[in-house]
Amino acid sequence: MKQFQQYLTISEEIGFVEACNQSIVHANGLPNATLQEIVMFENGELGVILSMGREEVEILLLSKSSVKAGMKVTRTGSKQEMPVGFELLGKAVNPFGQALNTGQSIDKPKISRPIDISPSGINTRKRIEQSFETGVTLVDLLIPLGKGQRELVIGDRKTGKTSFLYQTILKQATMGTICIYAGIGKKTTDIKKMETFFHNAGIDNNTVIIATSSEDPAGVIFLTPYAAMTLAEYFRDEGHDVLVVMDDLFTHAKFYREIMLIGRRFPGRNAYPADIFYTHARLLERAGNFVLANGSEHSITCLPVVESVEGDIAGFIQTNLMSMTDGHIYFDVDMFAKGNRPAINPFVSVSRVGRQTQSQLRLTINRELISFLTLHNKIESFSHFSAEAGAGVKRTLAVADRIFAYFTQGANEVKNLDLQIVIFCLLWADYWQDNTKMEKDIATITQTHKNSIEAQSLVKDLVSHANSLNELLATVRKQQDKILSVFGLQVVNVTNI
Amino acid sequence: MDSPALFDQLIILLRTTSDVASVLLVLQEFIDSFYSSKTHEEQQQIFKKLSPQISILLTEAFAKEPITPENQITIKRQIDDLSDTLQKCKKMIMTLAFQPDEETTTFFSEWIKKNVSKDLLLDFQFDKSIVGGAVIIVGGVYKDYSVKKQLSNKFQIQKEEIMGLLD
Amino acid sequence: MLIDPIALIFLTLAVTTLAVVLYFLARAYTKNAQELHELQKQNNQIQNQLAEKPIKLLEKAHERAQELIDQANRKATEIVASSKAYEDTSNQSLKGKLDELEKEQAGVFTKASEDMKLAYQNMITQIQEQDINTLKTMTKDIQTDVIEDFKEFRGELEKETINSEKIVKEKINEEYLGMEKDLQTYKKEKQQKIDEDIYKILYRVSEIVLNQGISYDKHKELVLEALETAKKEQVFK
Repeated sequence: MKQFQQYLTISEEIGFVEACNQSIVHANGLPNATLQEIVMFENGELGVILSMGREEVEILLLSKSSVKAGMKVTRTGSKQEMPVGFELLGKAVNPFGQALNTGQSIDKPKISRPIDISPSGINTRKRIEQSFETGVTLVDLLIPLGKGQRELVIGDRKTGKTSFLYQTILKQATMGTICIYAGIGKKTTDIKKMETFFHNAGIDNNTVIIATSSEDPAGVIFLTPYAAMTLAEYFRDEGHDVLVVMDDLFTHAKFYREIMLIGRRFPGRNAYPADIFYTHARLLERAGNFVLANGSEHSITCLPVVESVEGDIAGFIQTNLMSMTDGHIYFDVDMFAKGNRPAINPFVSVSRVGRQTQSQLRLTINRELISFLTLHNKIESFSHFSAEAGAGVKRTLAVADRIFAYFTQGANEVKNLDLQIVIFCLLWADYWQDNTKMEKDIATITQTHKNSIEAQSLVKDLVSHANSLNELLATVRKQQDKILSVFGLQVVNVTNI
Repeated sequence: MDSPALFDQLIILLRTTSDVASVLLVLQEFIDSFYSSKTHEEQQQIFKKLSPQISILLTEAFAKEPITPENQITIKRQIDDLSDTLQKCKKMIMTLAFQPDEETTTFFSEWIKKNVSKDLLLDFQFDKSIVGGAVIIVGGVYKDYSVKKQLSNKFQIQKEEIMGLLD
Repeated sequence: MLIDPIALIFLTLAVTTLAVVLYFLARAYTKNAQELHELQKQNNQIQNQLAEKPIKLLEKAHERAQELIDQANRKATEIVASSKAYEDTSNQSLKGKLDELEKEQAGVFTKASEDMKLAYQNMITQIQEQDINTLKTMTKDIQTDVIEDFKEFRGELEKETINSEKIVKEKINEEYLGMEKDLQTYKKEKQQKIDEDIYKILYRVSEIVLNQGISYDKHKELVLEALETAKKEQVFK
């Protein structure tokens, strides 16, 4: 960045601060200023023009230190830009591309891109056809996602949303996707924890953290998700698939509300400004599945996060985001209290786009599971009456119990989807009668699959040659001895349900 | 006399923002005197703090007759209107390398009133480092016509020539 | 006061009756007491008898046990005595047999060891001769191998020395050129810096000179010039 005097000489325009109210500054002068233009104050601090009146401009401060009345301000002639480049991989930066760790130096990327741009038009977009794996079995089987989808992650605080995000990032980073985590107004310790997690998991080379802490100026916090999306667009244009996690947009909305109320905008519903929907929509619309100029197809998958209060997903911001995304994954606080991990409610969660990316096999598994779990729900509600349950009911409850145990997954644990399908087949065919034995066997199978190439190729063969669950079950029955011996399990006759 | 006409007459005599500030201060003092035990003559004396021409003009306008409870409100309203108009006047900040005397100030002010606008007021700032000329800031526009800038440009353009002299 | 004679008679009758009743009561009481005393005596006797019986039984049992133990002891000593006798005889016969066997075996072993000694001596001499021959041939082979290897090594060493000399020369040249380049760059940079400093000094000096050289009227003229230029450039619009 040049000095104030240099910008003054180039722009030949000057303004004087008339009033300063926390992060909003009113200045006169600057006759040719444009909206969203960066301005520089006499003391080197930066601001962005929020609105312009007849005699004065309204500037949003992008720095912690305040400005005084009478201070000079000049235009820089540039819009808000973020430096983008592969030099940022493995680093934690703020929306201006500066390292968060004071000891760390970053080679400043040579290219900069404007932070706030209009989303691409319809002609550059393509139908979402590739599946997006999260490494969480429950999501991959019941609420499948696609590359380029925008899926809202919603739930109360401390219900496991961040663990789910960690698992998804870990899975996608190991598959070669570039993952960008936008931490909006987070605690510094949380940002540090995430950085350490990425480093320990060895996925530094595929991840970037763009974060602002809660003590940063409201203007900078507001820019965080936009900066993350700008960086994602750069990597997409360079030929990579990208995952952007925005944690969380509810905080973003609160800070935007703060800025607008200080700027004396008329408050709308819940005191949010009237353009809160537009603020988030123009951000999320920049994600999707795109066709580049060279004909290649790349995606930006977006996982915005929003917090609900007391399980209320009908809040203003929550419903706004649900309407502008392609589905939502709901973390149920009651399920969390019961001990379900992950505490995802598959009946409330929705994926509008994911199913079109699934193979026939996964579609049939999805349908079977959903209808079975629906049946289980109905039976469970009646089993609270103290009537004697019949054999069929008992069996359904037992199988459902095993299915929930099968879905249980530890924090930071990611699973291979094909392997989970094969395990599901064994479960569906009643190979296990006991939950404890099932958990032990699943651990054995997972370990064997990890270490044995034979097991990996067997699983891949089984899944790729099956077009439906029944077909896969038939194949598993035929090859049961081989399968069980490869995984070191006890040979037992598997039967059809 | 109504405020616009008075303003037109007054603005011709006002050169700089400090002149305007003095006039506003005196007008405020005059208003404050309504609620004190000052006599008519003492009230007239208040305007004597300004330059003779301005003093005569304002005395004629507001202090010709004694201030009574009947005419007090009208006069105060007129003064407030005049103050508002004076405060809204545009100003031009000129940074000079020297301290201009009264004659020079009047000279520049007259030039401005003749060539630009009657109600554009001057605000002089002193900065020796510009060497000569002026840096003008008006209506948000910043123009550097200082000798320092010209010297710097000349040095920049003829750098090679100058460096050649050194060898 | 005189007592009524009827009352007196009645009283006398009552007293007499009471006395008679008391007499009978007393007799019955003494009779019962005597019976009780006798019963108690009998009870004590029976208890003593009962106490005496188990003691007698115990004593009888003790005596019987003692008898049995004595019998058993006697039998055991008899058996031990007989076994001791048997042991002595068998020891003696075993000893005799062992001595015989020992003598026999001693003879066999001496013969066998002498045979083995002979054979061993023969083997050793044979091996010695073989080893000497092998050593002789080995040293010859080693000598030739070593000489060849040495020749080869010498040749390689000479080659390598020449090569490494070349490499070192090249390296030194490279380094030298690099250093020269760095030196030139450094010189250039320093020169540039000095030139810049001089340039700045010149500029500063010109500023100072001009500052002092401009008169008041000249200042006024310059400002007016600035205003005219601003008007021309439509700054005031």
